[in-house]
Amino acid sequence: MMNNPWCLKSSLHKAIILFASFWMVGANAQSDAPILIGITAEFGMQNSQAAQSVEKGILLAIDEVNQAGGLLGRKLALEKRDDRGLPARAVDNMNELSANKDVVAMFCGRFSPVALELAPVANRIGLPLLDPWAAADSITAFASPSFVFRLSLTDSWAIAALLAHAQSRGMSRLALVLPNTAWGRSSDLAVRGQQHAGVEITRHWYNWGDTEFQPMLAKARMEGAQAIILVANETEGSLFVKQMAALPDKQRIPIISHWGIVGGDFSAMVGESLDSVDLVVVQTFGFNGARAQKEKQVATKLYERFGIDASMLQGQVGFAHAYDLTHLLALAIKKANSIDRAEIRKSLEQIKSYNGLVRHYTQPFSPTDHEALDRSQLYLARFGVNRNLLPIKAK
Amino acid sequence: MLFITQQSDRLQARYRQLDLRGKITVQLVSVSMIIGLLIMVAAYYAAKYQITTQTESILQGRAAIEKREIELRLGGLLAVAQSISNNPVTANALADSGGREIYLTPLLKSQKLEVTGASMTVLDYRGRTVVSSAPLSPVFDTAQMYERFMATGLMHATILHPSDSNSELDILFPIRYRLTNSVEGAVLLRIPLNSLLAPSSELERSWIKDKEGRTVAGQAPMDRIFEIDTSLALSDPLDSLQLKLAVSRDQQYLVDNLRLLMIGFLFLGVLVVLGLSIFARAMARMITRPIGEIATAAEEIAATGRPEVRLSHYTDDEFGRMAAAFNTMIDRLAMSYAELEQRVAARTHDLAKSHHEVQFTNERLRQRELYLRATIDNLPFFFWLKDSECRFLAVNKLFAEACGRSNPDEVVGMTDFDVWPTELAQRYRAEDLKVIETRRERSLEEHVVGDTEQGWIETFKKPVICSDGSLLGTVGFARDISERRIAEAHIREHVEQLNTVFALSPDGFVSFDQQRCVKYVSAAFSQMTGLSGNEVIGLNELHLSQRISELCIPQTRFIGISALRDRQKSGEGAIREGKQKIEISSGKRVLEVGLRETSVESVSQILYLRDITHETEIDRMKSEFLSTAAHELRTPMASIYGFSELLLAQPFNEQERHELLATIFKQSELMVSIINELLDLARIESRRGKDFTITTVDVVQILEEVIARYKTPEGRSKPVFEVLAIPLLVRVDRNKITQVLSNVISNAYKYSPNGGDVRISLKMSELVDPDDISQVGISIIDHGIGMTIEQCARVFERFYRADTSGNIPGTGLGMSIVQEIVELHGGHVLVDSALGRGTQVTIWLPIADQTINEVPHYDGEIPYLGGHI
Repeated sequence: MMNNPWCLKSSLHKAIILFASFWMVGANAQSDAPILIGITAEFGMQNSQAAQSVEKGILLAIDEVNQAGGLLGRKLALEKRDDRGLPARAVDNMNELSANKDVVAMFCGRFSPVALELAPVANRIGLPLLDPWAAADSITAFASPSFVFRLSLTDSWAIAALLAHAQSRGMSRLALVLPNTAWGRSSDLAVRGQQHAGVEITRHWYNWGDTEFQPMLAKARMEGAQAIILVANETEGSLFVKQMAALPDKQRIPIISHWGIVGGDFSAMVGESLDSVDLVVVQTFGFNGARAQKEKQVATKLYERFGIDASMLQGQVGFAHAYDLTHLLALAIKKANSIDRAEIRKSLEQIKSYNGLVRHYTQPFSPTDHEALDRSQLYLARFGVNRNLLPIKAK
Repeated sequence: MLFITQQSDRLQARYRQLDLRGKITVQLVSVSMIIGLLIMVAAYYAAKYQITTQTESILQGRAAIEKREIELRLGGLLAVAQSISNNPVTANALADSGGREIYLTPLLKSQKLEVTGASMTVLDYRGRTVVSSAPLSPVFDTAQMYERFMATGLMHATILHPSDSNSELDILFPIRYRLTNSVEGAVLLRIPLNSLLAPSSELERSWIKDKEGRTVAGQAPMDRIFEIDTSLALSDPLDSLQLKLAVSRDQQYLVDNLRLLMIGFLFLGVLVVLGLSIFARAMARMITRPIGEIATAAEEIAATGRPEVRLSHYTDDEFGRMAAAFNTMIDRLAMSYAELEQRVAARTHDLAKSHHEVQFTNERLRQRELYLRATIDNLPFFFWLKDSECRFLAVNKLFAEACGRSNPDEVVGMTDFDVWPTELAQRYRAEDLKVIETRRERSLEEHVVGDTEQGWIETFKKPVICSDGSLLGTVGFARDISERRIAEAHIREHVEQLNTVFALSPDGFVSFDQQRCVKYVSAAFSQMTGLSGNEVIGLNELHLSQRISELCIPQTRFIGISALRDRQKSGEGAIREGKQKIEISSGKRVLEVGLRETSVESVSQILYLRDITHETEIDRMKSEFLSTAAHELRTPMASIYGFSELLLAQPFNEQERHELLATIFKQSELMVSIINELLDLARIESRRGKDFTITTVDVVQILEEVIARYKTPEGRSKPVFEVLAIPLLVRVDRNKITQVLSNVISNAYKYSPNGGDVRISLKMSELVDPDDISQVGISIIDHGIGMTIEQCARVFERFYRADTSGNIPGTGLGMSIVQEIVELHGGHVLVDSALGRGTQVTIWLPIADQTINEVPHYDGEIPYLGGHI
């Protein structure tokens, strides 16, 4: 038939051949181009290592998936955008990436204001948003069906853990230091919801980018605060801790911190001041031997892939959360057997179980619950002599 | 143009036709009209200037106030907006999500913006509104501009709708997010420009212009009579907009009033001109009527020729006085008329009487002319008088005859060209013209060549000048001076000869005039003393004596000319002759100075100088030689004298006596040789070679003979003689030359006591100078004690001994004799020596002509045959 196409007179035949050739071209294109996972995060922010750590987690998981033969006969790849921690840039990045049909889902970084702005957009355009870090409670609570999935802690859980720690140390007067952002407001809300009777809490707001915390510390001390509940990232957090350390010995009070401070190389930024301040920080994960076998396995791959020792990795929570989330996404794609975003969203809710790095997940997401972790995952840690975070309380 | 010219001509013609009354009226009216117009124009411009300056100062004040107001308000707004952009809350809000309005909106709204309608808006990195203080968020559509602003991160100002008078000013202030250290948004300050302006009135308006001149705020009036622009001094970034505030004031009503005033002025002016013209006519009539009457009376007198008309005068003013004067004038005129007629009669009578006197005067004049004629005709030289045109007025008889005319009157009226040959006449004419031109007398002597004879004429010409300074002509005299010229030529020749004699004389002469001042100096004098003629001519004898005295060495100072004269009168012998010997220090000349007084009229005395340097030198040398010779002779004589005295005084044994006698003999021998050589020298000098027996001999042959005969000192070898294989003939006295050669060879051995060869060689002068083949050189060379350069120079001095030790015997006369003999043969002796190395003495003798002819022709070189002989 092909040897002599001029013999064909029937238009039907022609149509069939035309269709077949188009189909083949389409199939080829599909199998060649990788399935894309997008990420918009604060890569351009000074001091921050969080976005880089999340990226490493995703890349390592993608490597594993691709080594196992990829998905739907295609490779998996990451498409990266920098939003500098600014919601406006993040939304623009999401809109840009979502235009590409090969992008099946999108990661955000650790900034709650960014995630809070992204979430409604994700729901509107129907692109799954995977949150490996940002903690504001309301990120996952916007719409139904929700396209936002989180594998991280929430501010409510974190605040609860911090308050519980303070209580366990018999502290009844606390100073709450909050950023003047959605994250701060979310944390504040969490405190209001969980404040125990008899515990007196004063609030101190600061702006991102502020550098002077001495007046705030003085005010907190005058109000009789026994400890500081600190909601901050590494830049402001490190300055805060250093300024606390600069106070005379007797004027210093313990700092019980939300986990934003571990977004960068905090111990290096604070330096020796770390030794003179009583600092505990809430965590969900660390290469500390809790899940020795899986940790060792991933640490080996991490070293092979990036040449970094796992214990030296900054922002370990972001890495572990992103690693697990990527695998969960891969499972969902496999389960959906399609790159259709809506199908994937549905499949994410239907994953039965997965043995991850952070924990063993049993149905991590459900139509009513898009939180892969729970309160039990949280623990408090201190910086050890080697400047690595050591849990102070078993889970 | 043509039309205007025609009209103007017509008006002028009509004006001329007007009577006096009309002319006065027209002139008065036109002058008043011109003055009126000028006053009106001046008043108009003065009023206008006043209005203008006043308004401008009002406007300047208003502009200054409003400019300050706008600058302050804009500055305030900028400060507020900048503080918002720098506030950390604003940057924080950019990183925050929905909910930030809670704190950002109150922040913006709490800012007090001093300008109505101004708003502040926080924009994100793409210019989208985050929060605004305006009820409606401003639309920001210049995306490209915003991108540029974000990229530079610098404040930026722009005007929206610049062509619209409702335009707005947008200023962007960057918001820097400290955590990323990048500009992530902006505060937009929007100001409606109209709100900046003060309310406008009908009279005064203000508006703002951008740098293209477009009105961006307010409204420019259609009719801007007075307008002032001032640049607004604004801070960055508004300065780049270069905004200008313009203020205007409408002064139309003032100008309208001014025009009304001018119309009033014009109306009044017309009325004044009308009144003036009526007044002028009346005045003119008053003035012209009496003049008219005088004119009529004058016309009547002119017609009749008789001054009989009279004017009636009825007023006392100027016209009345004029009429009275007119009448008086007519009366006087009548009187003069009668007087004139009387005087004419008297004159006629006088004329007849004077005729006789004239005749008498003429007679006397003619007589005087005869005397004059006789005088000039008897003059012994040519005489003539010419007028200024060089025509003869008078000549004397001698002159007329010279021209070939018998009667002097024939020549009168002629010119030189009529009486002389053309060439001569031309010369005379030229001379005359020079005299006339320069007004100076001239005299000249000229050589005239006639047909038969020739001679010299002396001519003297002089201008004749009147007492009033005008030139009448020239007067001339001429005479024959041929004889005088011949006598002068003789004298000149004689003087030339004398001068030549003086110039050539080896003695120097100085002649003095009657005042005893130097009049002439001969060349020899200048040469001797070094005093040039210019230096001394005109000096008196005292000064000259001083000059000569300065030249002398102190021992022989010149005693002076007057002293010489005194000596002549009082002294004796050489002194009597008035002579003195002086020595000039430069050149060591010895001069003999003498003085001779003369009886010639023009020369009082002559100083003469004679160069006696040479004679003096010879005298000196003679006495020096005598004393040296005596000294040299006395030395051996003393020995002889002493030893012989010793022998006579006491007995000696045979041995001792023999020794003493031997010494006496040796000293006597030395004395004899000195005396012989002295005699030799004296003979040679006195005979100057006249006793030489000159023959042609061969140098080689003589040398061979000398060497053969020479008794070589013991232990010394014979001289080495380098023989030339050709005969070298010289014309010499054989004996004398033998003596010369023996002497030199003997010296060579004597002065080389430590041995060494004595070498003799011959050379031709052509080896030294290829063009000179006239001499042959005989070199005697030793390797002895030699001499220094100083010793070498004195080697020919008599009694000079290079050896002062006394070990080498000798008289010190040998080399003097050698030199004398060789030089008398026309040759010369050269001595070349170096101390401790030896001496070479070369005797150069002229070659006899025969030799040159006999020289066999060798190609280039003379063969050398060395060896002992």
